[in-house]
Amino acid sequence: MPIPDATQTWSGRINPVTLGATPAEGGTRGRTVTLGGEAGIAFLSSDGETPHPPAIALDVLDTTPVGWPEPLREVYGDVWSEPAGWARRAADLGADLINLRLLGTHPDEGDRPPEAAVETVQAVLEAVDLPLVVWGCDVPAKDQAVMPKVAEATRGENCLLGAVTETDYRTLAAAAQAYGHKLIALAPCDINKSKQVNILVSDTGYPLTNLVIYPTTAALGYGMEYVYSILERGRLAALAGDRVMAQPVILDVGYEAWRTKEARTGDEAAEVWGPIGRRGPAWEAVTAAVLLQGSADLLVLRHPEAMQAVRQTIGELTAT
Amino acid sequence: MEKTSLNIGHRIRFLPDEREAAIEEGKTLLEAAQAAGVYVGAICGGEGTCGKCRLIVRDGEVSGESTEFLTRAEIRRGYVLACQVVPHSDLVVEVPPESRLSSFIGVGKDSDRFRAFERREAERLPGGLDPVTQKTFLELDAPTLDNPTADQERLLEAVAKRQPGPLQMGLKVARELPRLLRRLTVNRSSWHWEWEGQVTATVGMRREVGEVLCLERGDTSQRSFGLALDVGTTTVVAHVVDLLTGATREAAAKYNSQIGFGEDVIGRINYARRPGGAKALHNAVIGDVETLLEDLVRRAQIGRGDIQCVVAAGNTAMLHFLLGLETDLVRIAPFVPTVACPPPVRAAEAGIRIHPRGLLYGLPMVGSYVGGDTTAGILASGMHQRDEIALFLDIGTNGEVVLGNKEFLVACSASAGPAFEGASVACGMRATTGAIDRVRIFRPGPVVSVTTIDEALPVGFCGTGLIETLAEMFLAGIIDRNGRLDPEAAGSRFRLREEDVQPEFVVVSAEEAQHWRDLVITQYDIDNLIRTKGAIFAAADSLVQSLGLSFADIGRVYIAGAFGNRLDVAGCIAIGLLPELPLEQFQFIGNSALTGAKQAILNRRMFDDAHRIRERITYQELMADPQYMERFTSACFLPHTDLAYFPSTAERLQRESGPAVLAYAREGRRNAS
Repeated sequence: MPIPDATQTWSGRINPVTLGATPAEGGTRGRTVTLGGEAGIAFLSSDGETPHPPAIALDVLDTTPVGWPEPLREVYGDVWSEPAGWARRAADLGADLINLRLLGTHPDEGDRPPEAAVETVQAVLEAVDLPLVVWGCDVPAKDQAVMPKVAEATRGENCLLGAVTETDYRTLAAAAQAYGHKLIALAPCDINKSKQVNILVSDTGYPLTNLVIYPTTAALGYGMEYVYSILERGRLAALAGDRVMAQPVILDVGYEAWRTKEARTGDEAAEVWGPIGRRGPAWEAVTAAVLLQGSADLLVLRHPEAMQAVRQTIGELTAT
Repeated sequence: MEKTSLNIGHRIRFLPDEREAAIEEGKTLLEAAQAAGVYVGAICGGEGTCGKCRLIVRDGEVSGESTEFLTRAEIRRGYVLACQVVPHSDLVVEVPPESRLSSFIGVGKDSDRFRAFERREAERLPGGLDPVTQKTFLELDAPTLDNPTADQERLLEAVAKRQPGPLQMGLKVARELPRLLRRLTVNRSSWHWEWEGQVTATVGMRREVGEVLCLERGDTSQRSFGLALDVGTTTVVAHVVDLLTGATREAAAKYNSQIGFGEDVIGRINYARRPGGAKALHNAVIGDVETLLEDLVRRAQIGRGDIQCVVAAGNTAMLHFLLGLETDLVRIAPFVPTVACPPPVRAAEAGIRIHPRGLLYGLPMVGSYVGGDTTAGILASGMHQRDEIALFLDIGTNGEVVLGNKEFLVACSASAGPAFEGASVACGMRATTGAIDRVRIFRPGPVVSVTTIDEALPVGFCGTGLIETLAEMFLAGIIDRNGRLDPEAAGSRFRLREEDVQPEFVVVSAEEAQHWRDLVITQYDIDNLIRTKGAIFAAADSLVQSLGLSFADIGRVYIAGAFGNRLDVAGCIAIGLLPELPLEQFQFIGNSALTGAKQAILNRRMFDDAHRIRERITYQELMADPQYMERFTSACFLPHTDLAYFPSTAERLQRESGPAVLAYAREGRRNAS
């Protein structure tokens, strides 16, 4: 029996979004990373090209992490008290981008002032030449004080700033617009909400083509299927021509994977699960590999082994 | 009547109407208000959860629970929630404007507003007049030895000549028969029957069978009236119809007294479960009908006995209350009404005092949440007879939506909530004197101009005022598409309330209104209104999509409900309450339930049509539709998440509000997601 031709032609295409800026482009980055641009379903080359394979960012915090499991301590423990050094380590490990979280600005986690946050961001920019993703602390009032300062201080670097939500978007959108940054639009696992956030942001005059969607993330065994189906539906809508959904997608895989008990439980309590040093990275890699099928353009990861495994998967899936 | 009781009673005087009631110690102020016939809004039926039964204690002592619904300033001013306080002395209580309901409302206005439509409908009556009860003047030949037919047979034969079909007659009527047909002369020890044979028979239809309801000596056929009734959750409307001409003789309306037991259907059904509750609710609505009837017969200068029939429209719960039926099962799954097609009963049995043998017809109900008001509305719209596909929207607490034409009819009910009726909104009120009904907002400023009903000083917002405020705030950029207030755009009218950090927009300040409080729309109100409009649009969307249609296939949209034709259709489209169709396709049909009841009373075929409509309607339970929630979320945005539904509105927004990027409204395919 002949195999039927299941090739589909799509009218839509995912917006290409470039992060970072080289000195020629007004920044100081060694190179830029472009997300998106797909003209078909993920890894189906017959449908349409995937000009930019999914990119990987490694996590860097502005404070010493609390409660990170042993496998991560082994990799970053010697540098994680100092963000610039940590970022350098991430770059050495082969990350495409640095994902910097300004958790220390959280009112309950040190309440660092905007100036301190700006210093951290600048230190990281100086330490590495990779493009930057910068997140606030998820307290809207504080983020509205911190993020515009960060946006101003990183003017020209074409960072990806996170995150605007349906209730808090004006300040950050204005700052990103003024200083030429890209934005992460957050809507937890809901296509309608996601569209609404995108429309709200674009109503302020910020271009839809500069947005990256963050539909939140869930790890293997913790609701990953929901995220998968949201990813897939969003992508199908975009390819069918819905320009409000035509944004590349960022997923926070590392954070979610390393919250699971499978990744955290020590060997003494979970003997049959195998050694923790392999469990955590495996959980992270499997979560990422599955979600990639639903279409994701930027994965935030933590463990270098997970990164290697995901890279290999991407390479195999995009090999011609 | 003095009652001897160990309880010490208190006299409660209600201002400004100077009504009084005596109540026993331990009864709440709300019960006192109910006893005095003072209606204060109590959406929750006295549970203390709605905060609408606000009264001011001017003099006397009360005790009660504290409540989060009153601000400190209000408590200092003597505000209490009537359902939460118990009088401990005689009291003088003021009913503040926002809680006040004048008991008779402007029917005149209402009937004026829709007269044109009604006249048109009356002309359209297929087959002309053929009322459900009819009077026939008969002249019967005297019986002879050659023709000794029984009186009853003689009469029924004569009736049958005028009105073919099976007939029946009750024993009571038969007993009177010989004396009505003859004059009996009694002389000392002899008596004499003298044949007259001139009687007027009233025949009422009981399904296919005509019942000779009553006989009157001589010719009374000119005095033949019917009562068309719309028992609404909020308003009871009654029209006296002349069955000979089809003309409406008089109209009256009043608020449903059941409001005191709960402002929505569910609250009342809950109240009915209390001891004596069901009886109280039945009596309240029958009392309203009686009050209206008294007023109508006086003004029309007719006798109650001249009214031979009542046709009642109303939602399922209301018709159940009217007939004194069990309502509890309407409320709980699987939502089974006791009766769907009420058989004609004696109106007297239900407590309505028209002709003692007159009939009460309840219009057929589709289910627990699509009632006799909807079948009547469809009947009135005539959508069930046309080729053109129409959408019927009854925008009330329960938004009923019907889609169809002469081939098919589908209906659903969206629990939209009472926001569009002015309830559950900070400064909401019913459409009475002083209600803000039109709003215009101009930038910069923003400058706000409003009009009110009867041009009185503004007291609060009625449904149209709320919808217009939402639309104007949106078009002026004061709220974003998510309904979020923008402090900068709202300017000096933006306010954060002191108690909670709830942003609000001052539409009319206290000084402007000469009122003790600012008339505001809070962020919570906006969210509430958006959910309400979202529920209605999503319901319509679900029906349209379930049949594989799009809104473009709809030729006409009928809007029924209390809004009247003052509702600004363009504004409703801008916020996504109504689908984006050419304005001339929208038709306000006002109180279509009453219009339908009137048509049913005037023409038996139309009465039967109502039953056929009921049989034809397919009811769609939205809660069973997995996509409804999705559509609802999509619709909870201004005007809608999918701008392909509102291409012209998108253009308008782009034109009027500057940089908005709206080019993404795709043509053609919708809901690709």
